[in-house]
Amino acid sequence: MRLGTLPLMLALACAASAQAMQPMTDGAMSSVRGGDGVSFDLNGFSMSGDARVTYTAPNGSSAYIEKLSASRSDNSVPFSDPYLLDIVHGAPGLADVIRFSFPANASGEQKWQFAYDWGVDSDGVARQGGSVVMKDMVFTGGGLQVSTPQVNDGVAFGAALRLDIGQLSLQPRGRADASEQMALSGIHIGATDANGNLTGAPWVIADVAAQPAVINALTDETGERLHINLDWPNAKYGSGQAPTGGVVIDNITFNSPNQAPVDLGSSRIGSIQIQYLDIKFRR
Amino acid sequence: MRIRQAVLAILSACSCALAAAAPQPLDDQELEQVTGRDGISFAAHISINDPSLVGAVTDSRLSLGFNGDGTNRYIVIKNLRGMVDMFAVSLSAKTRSDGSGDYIAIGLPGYVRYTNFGFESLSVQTDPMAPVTGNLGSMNINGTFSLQGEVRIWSH
Repeated sequence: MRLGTLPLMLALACAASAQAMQPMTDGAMSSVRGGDGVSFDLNGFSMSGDARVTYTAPNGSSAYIEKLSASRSDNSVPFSDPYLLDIVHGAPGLADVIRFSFPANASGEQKWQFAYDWGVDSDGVARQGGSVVMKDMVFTGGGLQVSTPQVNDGVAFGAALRLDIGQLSLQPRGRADASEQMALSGIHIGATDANGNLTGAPWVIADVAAQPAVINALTDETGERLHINLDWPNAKYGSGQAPTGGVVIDNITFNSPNQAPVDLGSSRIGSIQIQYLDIKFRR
Repeated sequence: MRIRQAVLAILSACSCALAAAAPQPLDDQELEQVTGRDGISFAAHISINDPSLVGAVTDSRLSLGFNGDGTNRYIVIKNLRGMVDMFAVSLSAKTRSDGSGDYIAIGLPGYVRYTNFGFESLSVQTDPMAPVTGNLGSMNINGTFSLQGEVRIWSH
């Protein structure tokens, strides 16, 4: 008799537990939010090696980059400024959006260093192009969006960029020898104001609602094409105006051994609007 | 006989109850302090569509379809193939230094080797299985990478 009461007590306990939960309507359920995104970051990242990535055209000519090395310095406060991956609601009537946000990186602590060698091989002539070296590349905010296009098939995406590069140099004698180089120092890319001055905000080059970029395949009068498009700015979902951006290069200098440096000074493109871009690849 | 079985069942149940009572309850903070060999590492050797093997596939296609105006079009990647050797990726769960939760730590591999890894052609066509037309070229990776550091993943 006593053994027989045990299942009954267990059933009562479960029933009591179930009564603690509250029913929710669809509307209430749809408002539930939790830890629904993913943060990620690098720690102590670096890479190097002798791997070569080669593109070979159908006629046999090829171009390559090789010996890529890269590293990134970390934020002094771990976990405080990560990359963010979220799925967010799209504009009314449009699909949801996968949003990939870069770190705000306001202090500029997260700096990238890159170097690689490159070359071409065409018509039986192989040519080593030397090295490309990028020092202190800093992304400050910005990010990427991915969604479905407003019309037709394909992959719609958006991109916003604020980028500062300490120095970009082309060094024909290799990454360890800067005695001969073309050096672009202090490269700055970002949004600009009405006067063409950099505002410090990311330049929205494409937006999945206001001015979407699309990758797809289409047919034109000469056949099927791989297609990349940046659509006209959309007044329905945005201002109808393409955002303005700018490019500033603080200094351009050529160096050669036993020669005085040739200092070309600075270069500046105050305001750029990309209203429309259409690229089709064909053989 | 039935009484003896009932007694045995009761004794057995009591024994189980005593064994079950032995573990001590831990709260979340105490549980976070428990450590052990709680991560895994793995190495990989991946060989895809190796044309040197007997009976290898000679026409493998990866296609992505689009339909905008009633006509199907496909981006076709032909013969994605090659070898990747990787040693070693580690995977573990750790506690954040700021005390705001845990994270997944992925240790990057110190050695990655690509051997003829790439694809033979990239094209756009209306029939994904038809002979390749309008080939835009091929890509290929050969050589090694050495990576250091870790990727940290957590929820927000």
